[in-house]
Amino acid sequence: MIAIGPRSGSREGPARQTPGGGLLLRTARAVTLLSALLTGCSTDGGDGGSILIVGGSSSLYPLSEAVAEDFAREHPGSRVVVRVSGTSGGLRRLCEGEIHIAGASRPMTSAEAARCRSNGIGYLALPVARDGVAVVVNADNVAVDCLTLAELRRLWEPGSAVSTWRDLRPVLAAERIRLFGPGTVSGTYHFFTAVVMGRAGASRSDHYQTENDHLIARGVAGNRWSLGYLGSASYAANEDRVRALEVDTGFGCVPPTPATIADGSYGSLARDLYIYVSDVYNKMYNSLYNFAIHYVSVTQALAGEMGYAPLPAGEYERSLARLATASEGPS
Amino acid sequence: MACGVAAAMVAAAFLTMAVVLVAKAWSAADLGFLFDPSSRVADRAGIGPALAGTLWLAALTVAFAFPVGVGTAVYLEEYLPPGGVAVVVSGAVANLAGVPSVVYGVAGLALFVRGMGMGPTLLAGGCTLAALALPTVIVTSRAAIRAVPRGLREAAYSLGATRWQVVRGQVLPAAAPGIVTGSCAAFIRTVGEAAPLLVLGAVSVMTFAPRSPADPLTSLPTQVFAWSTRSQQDFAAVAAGAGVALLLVLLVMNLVARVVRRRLQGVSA
Repeated sequence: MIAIGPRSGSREGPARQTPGGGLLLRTARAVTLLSALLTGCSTDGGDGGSILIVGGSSSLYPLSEAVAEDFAREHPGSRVVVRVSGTSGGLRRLCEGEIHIAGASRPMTSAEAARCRSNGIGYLALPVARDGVAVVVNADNVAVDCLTLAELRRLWEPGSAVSTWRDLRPVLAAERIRLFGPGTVSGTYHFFTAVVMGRAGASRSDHYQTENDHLIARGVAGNRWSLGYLGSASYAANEDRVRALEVDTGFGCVPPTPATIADGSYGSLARDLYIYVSDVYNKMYNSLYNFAIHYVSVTQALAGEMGYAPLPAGEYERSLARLATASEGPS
Repeated sequence: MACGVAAAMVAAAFLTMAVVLVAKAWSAADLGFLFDPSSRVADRAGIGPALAGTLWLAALTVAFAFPVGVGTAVYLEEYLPPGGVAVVVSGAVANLAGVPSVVYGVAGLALFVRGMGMGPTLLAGGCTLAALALPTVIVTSRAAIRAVPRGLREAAYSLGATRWQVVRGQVLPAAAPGIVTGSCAAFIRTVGEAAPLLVLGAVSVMTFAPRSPADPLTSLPTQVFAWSTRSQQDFAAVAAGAGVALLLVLLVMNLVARVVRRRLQGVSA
């Protein structure tokens, strides 16, 4: 009775349905089993699996990378990730709660602060080092040693008429200048355009743009007639392949070295670099402030070695005091 | 003769690549290299997190793409009646197989990372790579299923087997070696991809090995890319070392597929 009735028709009828369902079911079961196995491994994590995410400016990336590495060595079991998203991208993500520390090569704008406020995210802004914007040329290009701010402006302004070195200065070669620079989400871009053109974001756009400073240095190293600008720490890492020009910002021709950046003689092209520490209160609260304290305290020692200029010692002490107050608990 | 020359050139190309990589990587090779995280100093840099990330991605990709791909192939070949829908689906799959991998990255960013809120995690990376492998898995599995002799199916039907019994008992075992070979080729290509993962947002520095699919996205190919953009010369050796490790992972995947295929051939014969 069970068998005979339906059986004759089953080849084309119900059998068509159930096998498909069976296969799907098996597939689904296999997938859920596998994902259960895979995720099962995660539950044995000792510290609850919280991950500290550092992002933001590529000018601070060498420093963030070094600090993260040292911190991980001193705190086995800590979990730190460093991304690069440019200053604007980093600050936006900080205010969305997606990252916990953002490196910035300029102070936060009021629009960015408003976004943080509307998302209920507080933050500490801590200056960590100074650097300068280095203007670099190919190592074989020895005809020029120094540019004035006015010349940089003629070269980089929107709709610039300068296309060859001769356009810039009549004594130079009639070779086309190939330009390399940071992309528009970069704090270096905003800073450089604000200082040189007088308005943040005002720049010619017919140049190669990248958030990766190493690629700027590579591009300039690969073409004899090229010119680019990048953070001085990134320049320090690429000293063997590109040459930094001296810049006359009103104090005569000055090269971008940690010393000239620290004493102010590199003028308006030197700037403070900040980290913004978010106050998102969650289970990783302690490691966040530990990391920030570590960041501030080792920066003083690491900064010079990496081509930044350290801040006066008092600045670091003030930052550490602010972090100590903040880490006592959410206010 | 011409075929012999072609084969010799392929072998020579592979050997040259292996020798160049190993020669460059030699200075970076020690046991710590396999387990340590990346570093700002080339001597200390290792591939621990990247290697773990790639193993996760390989597991996730196979876990998602293999069942779905083979299931789709079986449905298209054995269940869907020929004509209208089948033609459209086949065309779509064939076209998807030709879409560049970066485009999958962009789609994955919109769909998995943002749309489904996975964030730039290994899970999102695995889903994207699975989507990338899927068309090839389907196409090769269909070919393998189609190569199963008609007579085998008809003999099973004549004994009263249901369609599912035919698929499961006859078609799949007979087609399995072909399915495994084709799918494995797809997975090996996919796991070596850097472009879609870079679009999704692979991390630059990770101080720990990922322990779950919800951890941040990292992999050997993206690590090779990150190191090769660095200016310090020493990192060229480290990048080559990561390249050798990637080759070894893919070689192991290939060997596993070979063993599985041997087994399956033994069963179906």
